[in-house]
Amino acid sequence: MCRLYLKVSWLSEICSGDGIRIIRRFFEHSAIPVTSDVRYPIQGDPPKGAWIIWKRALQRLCNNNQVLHQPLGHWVRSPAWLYDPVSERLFHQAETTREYQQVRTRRSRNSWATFSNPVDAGEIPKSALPATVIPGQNPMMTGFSELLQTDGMHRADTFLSFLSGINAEARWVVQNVEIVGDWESWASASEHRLQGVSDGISTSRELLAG
Amino acid sequence: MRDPSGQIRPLQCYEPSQAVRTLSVHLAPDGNMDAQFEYMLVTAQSWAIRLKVGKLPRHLTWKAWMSTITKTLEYPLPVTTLTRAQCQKLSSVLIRAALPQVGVVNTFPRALAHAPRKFFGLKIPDFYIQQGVAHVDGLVKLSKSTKHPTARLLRHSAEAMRIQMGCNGPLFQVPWQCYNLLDHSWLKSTWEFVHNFGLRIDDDIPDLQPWRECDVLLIPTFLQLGYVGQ
Repeated sequence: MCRLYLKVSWLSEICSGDGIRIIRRFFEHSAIPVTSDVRYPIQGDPPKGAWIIWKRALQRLCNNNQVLHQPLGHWVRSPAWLYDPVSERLFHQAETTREYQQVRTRRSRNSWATFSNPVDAGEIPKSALPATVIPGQNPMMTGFSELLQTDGMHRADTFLSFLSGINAEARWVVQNVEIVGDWESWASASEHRLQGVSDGISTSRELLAG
Repeated sequence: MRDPSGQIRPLQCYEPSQAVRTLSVHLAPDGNMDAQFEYMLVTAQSWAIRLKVGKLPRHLTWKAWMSTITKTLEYPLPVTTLTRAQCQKLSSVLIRAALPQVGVVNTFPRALAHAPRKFFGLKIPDFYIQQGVAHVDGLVKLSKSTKHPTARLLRHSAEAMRIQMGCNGPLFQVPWQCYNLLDHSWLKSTWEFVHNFGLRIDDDIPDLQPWRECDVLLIPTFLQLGYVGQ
């Protein structure tokens, strides 16, 4: 019941990017479902008793620090992306070498970021999380599957008023933007002003249109 | 909404659990068989009452039993998901009414009543087995089709079943403990039948793909740890 609520099937879907530990929030009753490409059946918030069993079962897979008894290995699905919300870095696994590369972000004057050619990642941060990224032509369009640490958001009736209301010092990832209505009009309004921001549940067609 | 001739017709609103008769089968969106079973039971009871007051000769009673009411009740079985108990209830109504009328004592062993003639049985159809065989027959016939709407529906249902179970491998060979993880469905009913009779059906429904090396599916792992039926 909790698994369907969280929309996960594999252990890796609730583990950190380095494959060593289970992410702490998945132990908690207030865990938020993962955004998945798989169409899971609709499952309401399970009762408290189910969460207790879920937590107890997960604890059998790791020690008290959530470190797995059997760490996970390399990513086998390609391309695989990781996002580190602490350092705001995005990593991509090269299909040939299977090594991770850091996707550089270049801040523009209006504080939005664009993505450029990857560089060697070095050591992957332990706080890195699995992410869903959909590369477009230019700019790259992204939709992250995990919660991101961002500044506070506000409501706006139109997209332009939403953009004007964002603090100039806002970080490059925007969270909790709910776009209702015609995607194409939003896409035309956001042209040259917004790059690759999504809540991760949009289809690739919508993301690419945006 | 408008019908094909352009006339405005009111749309009836039903609850998900409310069944509507379509093509002689009462189907509810949530898949419950309550209305269909009730309909079949009333039909069987009505036939049994008429048989008792009809006073047909033995051979005509047998013919009426096998060629009318049995065929009526068998017709919807390919799409129904009746439980074994419900099927036995239907059989029981007919057997209690018809056996004495064909000259067989009412306490005749039921196992023998359903047995083939070569084992000195009466070959009275068992609705649960009829239903299960119809399901398996439908699965096998539709398994190779990619265009038939019912085949596509079954494939989508099977893929949804895989996601809901969270287990890989042949669908009907996954650990039986996963049965309780599933919502009521046609495929779940078929799986129960296949499991009860020790049948094996292979399928080509794709497995869930791991993300990483050493990755494990959560449900089989929990089952191995002893978390059964939770």
